Amino acid sequence: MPGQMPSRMPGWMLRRPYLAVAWLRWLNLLRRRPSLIAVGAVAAVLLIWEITREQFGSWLEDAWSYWGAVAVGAAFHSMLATGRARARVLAEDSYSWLAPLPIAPSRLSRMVSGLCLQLVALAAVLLVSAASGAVRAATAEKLFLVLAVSYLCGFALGRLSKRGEAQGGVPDSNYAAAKRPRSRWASDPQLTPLSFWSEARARVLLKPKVSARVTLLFLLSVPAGMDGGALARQAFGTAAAALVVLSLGGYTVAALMTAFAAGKWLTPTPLRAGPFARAIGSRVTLIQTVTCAAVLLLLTAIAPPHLIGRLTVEAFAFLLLSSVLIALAARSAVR
Amino acid sequence: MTTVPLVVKALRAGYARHTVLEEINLTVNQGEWCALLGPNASGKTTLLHCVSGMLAPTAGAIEICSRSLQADPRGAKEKLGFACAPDRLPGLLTGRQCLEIYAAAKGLSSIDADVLRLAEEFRYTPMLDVFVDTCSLGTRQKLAVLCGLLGEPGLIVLDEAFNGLDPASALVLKRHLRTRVSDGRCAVLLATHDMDIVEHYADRAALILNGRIAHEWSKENLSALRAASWEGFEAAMAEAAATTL
Repeated sequence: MPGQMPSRMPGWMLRRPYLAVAWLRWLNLLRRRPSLIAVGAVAAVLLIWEITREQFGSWLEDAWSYWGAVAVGAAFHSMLATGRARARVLAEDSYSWLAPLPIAPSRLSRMVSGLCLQLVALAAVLLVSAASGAVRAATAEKLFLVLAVSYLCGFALGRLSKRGEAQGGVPDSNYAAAKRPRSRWASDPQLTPLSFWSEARARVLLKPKVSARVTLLFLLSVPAGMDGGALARQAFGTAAAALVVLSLGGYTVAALMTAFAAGKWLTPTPLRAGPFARAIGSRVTLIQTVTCAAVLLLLTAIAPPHLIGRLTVEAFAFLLLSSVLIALAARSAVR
Repeated sequence: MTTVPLVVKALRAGYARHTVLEEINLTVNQGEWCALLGPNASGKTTLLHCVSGMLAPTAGAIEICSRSLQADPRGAKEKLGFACAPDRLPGLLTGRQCLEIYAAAKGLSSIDADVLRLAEEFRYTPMLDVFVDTCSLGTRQKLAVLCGLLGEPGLIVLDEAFNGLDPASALVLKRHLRTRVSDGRCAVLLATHDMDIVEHYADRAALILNGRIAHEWSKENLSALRAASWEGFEAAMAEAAATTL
């Protein structure tokens, strides 16, 4: 037809630009980095190997025996994800390049699509696991039912969230704190604000939503029970340790990300790698050191001395490794 | 003896296997404002990224104030003032923090009074403590330009720096740059699509087409075109482009 755009995309998809854009993003990513297909294939093989093991089947059986905890966890996750998706969709409706198009906004489908994909993936995992005999088919069916119902309940609760409605400005800006300017900023300029950049980025990475999910994941990974016994203590201990590790690692990752982002911006200046690395890493390393010291101090109340000794060595090793990584990143960022 | 702010010799550059610039030769003298023209994707920004050290050329040489960008990158960058694209500015920092970091990175003992005055003229001072990613395009553009002008650079490199500026701020910047150039304090290399700048402010112009310099206009050529007719330069550029293509 004259004037019609040549396209291999089906008409129903072209009439849904948000869906079409999401699909094309994935397609273009694979076109630009074909190696991802091989990586994906290897990951899929490993996943299939894992979910067909008997050990995985026994985990699923354990999960079924604590189906209440699984249901609460899944509903909580679904609620958070829906709240986030809702905020994203509302922001897209205001700022997206597709917003001015004369199309129905299809908010519900954009909110629910991520959860649906997750459920499909979970169904596939349970199906393969059941087909391989790792888990009983009845258990897999009941688990899927619990997950599906929990996701639905979480979605309903998440839709009630008011998040994103009154949120002005730019996402994540609220995690950066505006420091009172130094009085001598113009007469004695320093690189120290770079350290605040690393810290702000770490706050974005470690926002409560992320920390809560990691903690929940670890809590659910240990079948704790509700009786406050040894298993429960183990679960809470694991969750607390996960939070500490997440926090320490998050600060290092934030510093590395900041080094590369700042490097791009500062490349046209004669900045040297040493002062740059110090500026990027000083505050992060200080925060990590204080965190390690506080955790070790608290542990002295409950842990035996040999364990404290081992953890102290590990903390020093981590701080050293983190500093070396930040220095290397700074060096490669400002050539 | 005055040094030449920018000498580009037989430059070739590109991204991965795609060559964007081929055999570029360009000299910008002290007290000269050189406008870089060309259609979109002709290679203007790639050339500016090479000059600023953000992209390593595959062949050729670049000298900034007689210092080789390849052999002595720090020495060359001490003389360079580059206004980055506004979207490259760090969103989680305030404008004041950006200026402070840039000044410290350039090894300055203080922020130039000239730059602080320009910020005042831009009416940017009240925005100094606002996070960059909450600023408008024009406000971020002002900040990028202010960063580029720090430290009395011998060569100022600007990539479409007038995009997003309101007319009053654009005029302030044009006059500021003209004063710096006329005083012989620096040279300016500006990639632009703005014919007004070329016709009224630039001393020289170069047209890039398909990664090569297709045509150059000297100060005398530009003066003659200004005197000739109302659309003198615009017509001359269209003619040069048509001849090359």
